[in-house]
Amino acid sequence: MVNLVTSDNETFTVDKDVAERSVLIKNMLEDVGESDQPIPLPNVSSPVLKKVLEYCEHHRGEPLPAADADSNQDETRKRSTDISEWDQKFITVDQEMLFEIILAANYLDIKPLLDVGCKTVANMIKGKTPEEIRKLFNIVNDFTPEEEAQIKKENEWAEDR
Amino acid sequence: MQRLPNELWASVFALFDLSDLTIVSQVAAHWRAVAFDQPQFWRYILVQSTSPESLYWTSRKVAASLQRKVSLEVVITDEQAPVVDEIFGYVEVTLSRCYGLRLELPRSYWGRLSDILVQPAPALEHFALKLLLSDDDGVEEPSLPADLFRGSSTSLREVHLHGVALPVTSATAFQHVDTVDLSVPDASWQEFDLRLFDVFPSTRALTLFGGGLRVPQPLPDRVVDAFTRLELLYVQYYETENLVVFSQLPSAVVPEVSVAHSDIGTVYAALDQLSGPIRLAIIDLPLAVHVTFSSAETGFWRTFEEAQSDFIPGAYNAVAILEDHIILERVYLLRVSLSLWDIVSPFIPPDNVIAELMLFFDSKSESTALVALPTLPLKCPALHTLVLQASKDNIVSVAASDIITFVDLVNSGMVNLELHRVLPQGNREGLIARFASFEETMNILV
Repeated sequence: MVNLVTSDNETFTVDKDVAERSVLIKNMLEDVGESDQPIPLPNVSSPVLKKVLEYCEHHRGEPLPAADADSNQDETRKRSTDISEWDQKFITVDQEMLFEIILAANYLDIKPLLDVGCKTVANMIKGKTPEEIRKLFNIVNDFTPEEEAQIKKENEWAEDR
Repeated sequence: MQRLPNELWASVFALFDLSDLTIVSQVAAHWRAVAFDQPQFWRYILVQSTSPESLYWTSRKVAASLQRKVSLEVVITDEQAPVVDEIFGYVEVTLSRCYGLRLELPRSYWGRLSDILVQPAPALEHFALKLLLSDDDGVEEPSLPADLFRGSSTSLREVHLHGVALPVTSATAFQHVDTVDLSVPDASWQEFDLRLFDVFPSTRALTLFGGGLRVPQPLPDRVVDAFTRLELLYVQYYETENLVVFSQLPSAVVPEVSVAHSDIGTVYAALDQLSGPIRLAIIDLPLAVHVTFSSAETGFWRTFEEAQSDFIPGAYNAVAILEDHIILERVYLLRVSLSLWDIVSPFIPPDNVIAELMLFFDSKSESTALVALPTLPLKCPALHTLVLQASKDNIVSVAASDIITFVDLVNSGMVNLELHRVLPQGNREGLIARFASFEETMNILV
């Protein structure tokens, strides 16, 4: 068993093979060797870690992706935004939590979870206009006048087609 | 509100194609920077038009690529659209970091282009140059400069040339090129250039394309010698012109020769190059039917790419070569696409010596339901092994009872059965009992 301590000082006790879905934790455990020392995760809050561990629990035992998986993947597979049914249900959360999960997956180095998060965000963006995307993520349009002029041109060409 | 750092937005944008990227590039300044930094935005630059829009996006991509490796393709085939300065500029600024360069332009721009192509291109791996002839151009093809890429391209491995002659003296840039493709317009003659292997001394795969080939005879020893180092010869001329490949080129020493649709005389000449028993494969591929003969003794093969229209019932049939008993007497292994079975099987005589029969489930026979086996009989009295094989992206299910019915049509004796990526459904015990041996794998046999 491994003890994980969140930023809000809550301790989670989990099976080693669940915790080791995180490459960060796996490496830390290898570094410290056999030890009961709790592992501090100052970048992850308890509600988020709870959610992340739910994912790790479900996917325990599955083969971990190779470190160089990215370079091996062919373009089509990389571009695919298909998400399995269980993952789909798991990631159906509010935007705040979705971003928190992505940040945690990135920090903890859980590549498959990061993929699910990024695919979900990509699917939210696809098919929307720039204005709709700004509203969706509360993003401020901060283009310079020069960039605005470029974009105006780009759109005129697109309309001509 | 929690925000994602640019690095993670980049992971999201990595999932986007060019049109998605264009949309997100219009959301905010920092998104624009991340979107344009995506490799799928800048790595592959294709210029097909001289419109302001095309030039705008090309210059964006060139700028976004920074100093990274790119592949640049310029294809301007319209005589009416003048190739503007900007386009030569893109070639000039990216040449030193192009890993792929394809240029297809009217021949009148060659002077301009050749000045640029003598600059170093140390990253270049693939180079294709097609000069399009207009009516008022001379007959003589322009030659490549000997100091092409200033000889710097040590990683250059693949070269395609069309409508351009080989350099007069050997070009250092081509020293390591192993894949060479030389073509002329398909209505014209191609002269076999005796300097070919002097210019491309490392050639392993050679492609020749045109209306027909003229070969100076006799060939010098150094050319004959170079053919012994070839691994693959791929030729596409008019039907009757393909014979030249076997009668005038020393192609007998080349392990793999592939030619376009050919007459029976060409097939005979090709088969003369294969010793001993022959394996014959007639496979339905997306663009053509490949008829491949290979020698069991040497492993050499000769492929004919036949038109699919010749393989529909009632059409003049390219499989007519199969009526020839001289050929068939040598075929001990026959491999046929399921979709071609009804066309091929009537041609096989009842006294054939086929010992191994392989039925190939190509993508056309792909289905989630049970795949039906042919009902047109083909007697193979010498049959030893029956093989059912599905293509690599395919796993098919077949009723066990169908396999038994099928083998009964082919040979009533006890033969071996091999199933590769084929799943028998139903009476498995009955199936195993019908055959002398039973092997099942998920392998792909080549």
